[in-house]
Amino acid sequence: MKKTIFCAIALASAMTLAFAGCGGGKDPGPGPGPKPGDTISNPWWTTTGELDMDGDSPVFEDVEITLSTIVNGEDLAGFNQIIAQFNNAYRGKISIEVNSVNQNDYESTVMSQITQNNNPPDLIMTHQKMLKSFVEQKTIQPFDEAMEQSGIEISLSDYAADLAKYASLGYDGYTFSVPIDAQCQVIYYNKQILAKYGGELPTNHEELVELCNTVAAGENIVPIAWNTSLEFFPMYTFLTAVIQNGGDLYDESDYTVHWSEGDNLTAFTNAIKSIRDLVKHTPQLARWDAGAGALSDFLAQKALFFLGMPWNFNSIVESFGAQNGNLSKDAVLSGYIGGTSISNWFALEENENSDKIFGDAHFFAISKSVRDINKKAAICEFVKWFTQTASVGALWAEAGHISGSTVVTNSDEYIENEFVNDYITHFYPDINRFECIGNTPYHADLISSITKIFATTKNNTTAEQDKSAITAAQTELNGIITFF
Amino acid sequence: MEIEETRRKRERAKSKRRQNLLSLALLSPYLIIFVLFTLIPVVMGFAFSFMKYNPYNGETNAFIGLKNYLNIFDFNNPVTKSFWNSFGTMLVFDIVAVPCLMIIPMVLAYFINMHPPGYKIFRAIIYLPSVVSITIVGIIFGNMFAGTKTGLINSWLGTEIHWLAGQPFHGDTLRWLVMLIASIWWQTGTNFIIFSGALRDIPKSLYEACEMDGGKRRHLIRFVTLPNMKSAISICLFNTLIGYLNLYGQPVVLNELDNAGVLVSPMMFIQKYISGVAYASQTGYICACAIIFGLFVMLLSTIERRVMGERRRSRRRTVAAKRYLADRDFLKTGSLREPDFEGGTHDSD
Repeated sequence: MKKTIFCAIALASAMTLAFAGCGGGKDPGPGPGPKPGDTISNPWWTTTGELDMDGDSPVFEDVEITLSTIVNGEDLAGFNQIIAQFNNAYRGKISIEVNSVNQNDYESTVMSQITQNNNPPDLIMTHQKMLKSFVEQKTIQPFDEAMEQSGIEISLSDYAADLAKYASLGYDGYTFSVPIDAQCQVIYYNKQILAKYGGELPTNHEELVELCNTVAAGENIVPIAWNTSLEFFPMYTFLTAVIQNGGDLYDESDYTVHWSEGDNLTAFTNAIKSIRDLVKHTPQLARWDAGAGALSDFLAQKALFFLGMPWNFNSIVESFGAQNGNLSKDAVLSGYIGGTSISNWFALEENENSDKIFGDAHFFAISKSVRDINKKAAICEFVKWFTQTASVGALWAEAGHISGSTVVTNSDEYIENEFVNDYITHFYPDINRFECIGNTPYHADLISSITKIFATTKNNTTAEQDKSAITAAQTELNGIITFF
Repeated sequence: MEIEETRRKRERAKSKRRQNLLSLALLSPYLIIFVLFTLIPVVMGFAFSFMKYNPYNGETNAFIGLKNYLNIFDFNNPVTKSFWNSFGTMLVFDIVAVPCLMIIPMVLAYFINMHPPGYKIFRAIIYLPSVVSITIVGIIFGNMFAGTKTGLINSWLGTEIHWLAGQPFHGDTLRWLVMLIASIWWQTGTNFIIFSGALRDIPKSLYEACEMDGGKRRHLIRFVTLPNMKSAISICLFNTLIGYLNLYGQPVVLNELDNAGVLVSPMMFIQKYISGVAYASQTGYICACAIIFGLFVMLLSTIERRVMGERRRSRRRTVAAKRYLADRDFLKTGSLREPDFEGGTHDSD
């Protein structure tokens, strides 16, 4: 009996403590956080200290910045090289310590670190799509105050307009994030096969089908090698097809989606049809489920095009050389592998979005845990250096990412860089025609629903089946958005 | 005499204290982990289930009573629907997998216990998969059942079957089948070892007695083997049932991009929504879902224990223990009467 009473008291005390420790108030009701155009009446960040200035420039002394980056693929080596360059150039003034966090856990891990003040990073480098959640949970702060006090100006007019438009994260007048680069699926092509069939790359969907048809018949191969099982295919390429056909992803006012209505339905069904055109064609121009075999086909010169990731460039070139008589890297680049983009590949009818490409972009943001103005200013200094230095832009481009800064893309050093010239500018023909998911906290569910549509419709045979799959995904997603 | 008695009592108390301290010291590593990683999270989760709770932003946290629990039974809510659908996935898989994971190890243990040539090697082979993690199982079976012609099974059969890409609730059972095969391969060893031990412990005299009474092989199994394995069966059934109610690894590792979201178990549902930042404002609701799921697991486990008669047996043991204590006290007073155990006599020293 005594034990029972003791357990009951312990449970009641623990629950009381749990309730007490978790704030209080009335039921705030459902619904997401700030909407476009919202203003901030109670800033959740603070600034302490005074900035040491030498004339108009701040003076930095041993400022240590911890940076949490989402980069952890083949491009991490290039990123670390850039950081090492910065640490050398700013020795004794500013130093950056990098911590790479897995993409799947980035949001929850870094946000927990910041909210629980458990080794929070000072600076975060993540995909644009994740930043809306960070600002909704009040875990990042704007650059504006630090820029104003330090005189280090990071003007959004120096960045590609299609990336800079996301920087305010819905709070007009604030710079909560700074664009770094862009990334999407890109096309590697076999120069030898292309030369045999005219040497001209297709400029629209019709030309693509025509060229591939000729190559398929002439070479007895499936000319487009792509791995539709890779998450990047529905996430980047299928969404590119939707955008190129005039699709609109979600309503910015409440994040709900309206895919089964009017022009949007046409855009989605056309996107599906544009891919089906290639797969169901006779002879077959692309496979649904080539899996990892897609790359093998391209390396064995059994495909004209390979849809791959830009940051895998070096390994693709090396493997191609090794598999084709130990060719040197230069020989592969000059004679065998060329680069182009999926711009205009999927639009069934020409429209104002035909040339757009969908993908992700890395952005910088400052953690709300940073209070010292010297550290905030040092972060501005680093962000400006990283995003607006031509040599850094070129180095980062060699890791597979086109610079998001017009200062870099217009510089001679960047333009004259061989890799940028031969590949990056072909992978991403116009950075101002680039689209990201934008400011929705439901990006993961949106991508999951898009993937579901892609997976369900690929074996459909009628437009009615397509519409039904699109409507089902829309209803489920809107239900989740409305509830959360 | 009285002083001696007091001294003895004090010594007994001291020895008992020392014994308690020692047991506490030995238990403490587990107790600390249990309190930190089980008890506190459970209590906190229980508290949060009555709140609108956001772990990242405390400003909006508020006590909302039973609203989260009422939401769980609002079947117009699509999130609620997917929560209850996840129960369906789990139960369908459990109904097939749990009996398989009881019968197959038992049959294997029975045959291995006959000591056929090379039985030690077979025993090792059967147990070996149990030591690998579910991730490794995913890699092995993912490659074996890869949907391309280079997948091991497809290359043997000369086919290009998409084993893992199907939609299990839409007429395609291939992914179910692969998950089942992987589960059997992976977890047969654990139950097999327990059944083997139980089979070895059955006294040969019972078989001999049964044979002398004219018992055939089927009678030996029915009247000797199975009744004597009841405890082992009960333990294995309990562990397997609990394990498969918490189904997580198999659907996570054995899928393709096409259907990663098709087979979702309650554990996957809870994990998805508790770790997604976009859902942070409804953490209380997810905690309520976790509590309901926990209660469901407890209910099924209790039913299993009742059906297997553990409670009745433990009551019998309690009666036997009480009699033993009574008889021991009686012996202390000088009687030569032997203790009276239920179901047998006890040889006194």
